[in-house]
Amino acid sequence: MRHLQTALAILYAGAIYVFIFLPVAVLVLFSFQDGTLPVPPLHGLTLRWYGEIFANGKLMSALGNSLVVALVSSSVACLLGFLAAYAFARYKLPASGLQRALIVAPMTVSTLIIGLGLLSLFSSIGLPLSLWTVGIGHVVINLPLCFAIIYASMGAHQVNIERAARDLGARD
Amino acid sequence: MSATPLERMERHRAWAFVLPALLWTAAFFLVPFFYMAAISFWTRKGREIVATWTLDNYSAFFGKAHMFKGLVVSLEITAIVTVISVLLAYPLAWIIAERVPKRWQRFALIMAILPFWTSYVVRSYSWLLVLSKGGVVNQALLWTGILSEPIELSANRTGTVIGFVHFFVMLLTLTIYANLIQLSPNYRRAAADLGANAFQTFWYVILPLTLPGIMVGAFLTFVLCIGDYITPQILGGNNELVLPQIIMLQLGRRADFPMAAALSLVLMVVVSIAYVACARWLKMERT
Repeated sequence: MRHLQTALAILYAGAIYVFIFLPVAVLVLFSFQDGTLPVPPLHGLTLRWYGEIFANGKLMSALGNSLVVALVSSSVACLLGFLAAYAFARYKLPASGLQRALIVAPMTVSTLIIGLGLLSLFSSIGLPLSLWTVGIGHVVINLPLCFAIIYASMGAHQVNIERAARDLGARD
Repeated sequence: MSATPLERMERHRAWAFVLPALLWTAAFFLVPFFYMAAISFWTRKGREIVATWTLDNYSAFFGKAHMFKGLVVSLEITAIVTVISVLLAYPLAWIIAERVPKRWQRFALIMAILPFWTSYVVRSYSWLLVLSKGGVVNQALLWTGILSEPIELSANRTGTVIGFVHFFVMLLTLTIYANLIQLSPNYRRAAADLGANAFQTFWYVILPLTLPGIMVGAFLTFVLCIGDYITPQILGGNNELVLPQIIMLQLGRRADFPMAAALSLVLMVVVSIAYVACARWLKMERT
């Protein structure tokens, strides 16, 4: 009975892992396809497509743009999220429940709607769209997540670590 | 009771920490949202938005069959996806929490959510490669002789549902696992002492205690699924459109911003109703 259960568990988990990794594995495998169609049969492995990416200036600059937007917007989101989480965990603020609800509210709104709202705002004040406006949108979407995760990890034990640090002469 | 200077200084510092996040959310979330809500009651002339108040956009939504159907299709797909994802994710989370040795659990969990870190676009595109008529699944089924003709797994609702379920199984495994490992083994011992068998212990003790994890994950699934435009766009074909696709159509082809705004508000009302329904399980607690 116990063995049967274990066998079933392994079988089930294995099937779900295959399901989870199937698209990623196929994508990676057929990115080396020696042919123009990324579907079976596999004609052989080649690095040709990767070579073409690196040779293509437009693709490389798009990759650069993605990296810059990702780095800047995630840094801003983490910084703002950390500062707010720190304040809520350490100080008593009026209506803190309401303020926390406001900060996590964008998490419950479709990213499409956040984008639409920003688009209408930016076009009404005449701000041209750019990577900056993209970054602003990403911070709106990611700030709630950064805040919620950092806030959840600032439990009581963290306060004690800070007290200990202060006792040992560390400055705020 | 007046605050001492020290208390006042502390409070100023607290505000200085909180204000950047609050101001950002107010400026780039609240203000655009209220502006969009106002636009949804306005109208347009050609490509210009005209600020005359009207309910026309909303009556058009409820009056035009193809728009209202978008909401119905969205709700159907979201419901199917949420139920299948919970049913698939729960056993996996349970196996990782109960059957996998402690020191391997972290690894098993990370493996279960690894493709989480690829974007919607990449995930949907790779599913297209897997599910298309010449794709891996069809080729394998033909080769083994299970099928004689390739079947249509993408460009229809099946494709959209598979693409969504893939993502949300990972999300739900995470939230349910986090819930399962917090349960004290004493519950199980108490249930066993009281004469419950394995099934009764699960059904009457473990399942109700993991309801918060299920509901948090199911709510997030609902929000992200009903608002997503990319997965149905890539995997769903053009035969039935979900509400976000109809919103994009208003913007693209017709440049009808007021109508798009009204549809967005309808979507938000639906999500709010779901939130109210799940609210008792969604309290944000510090651990």
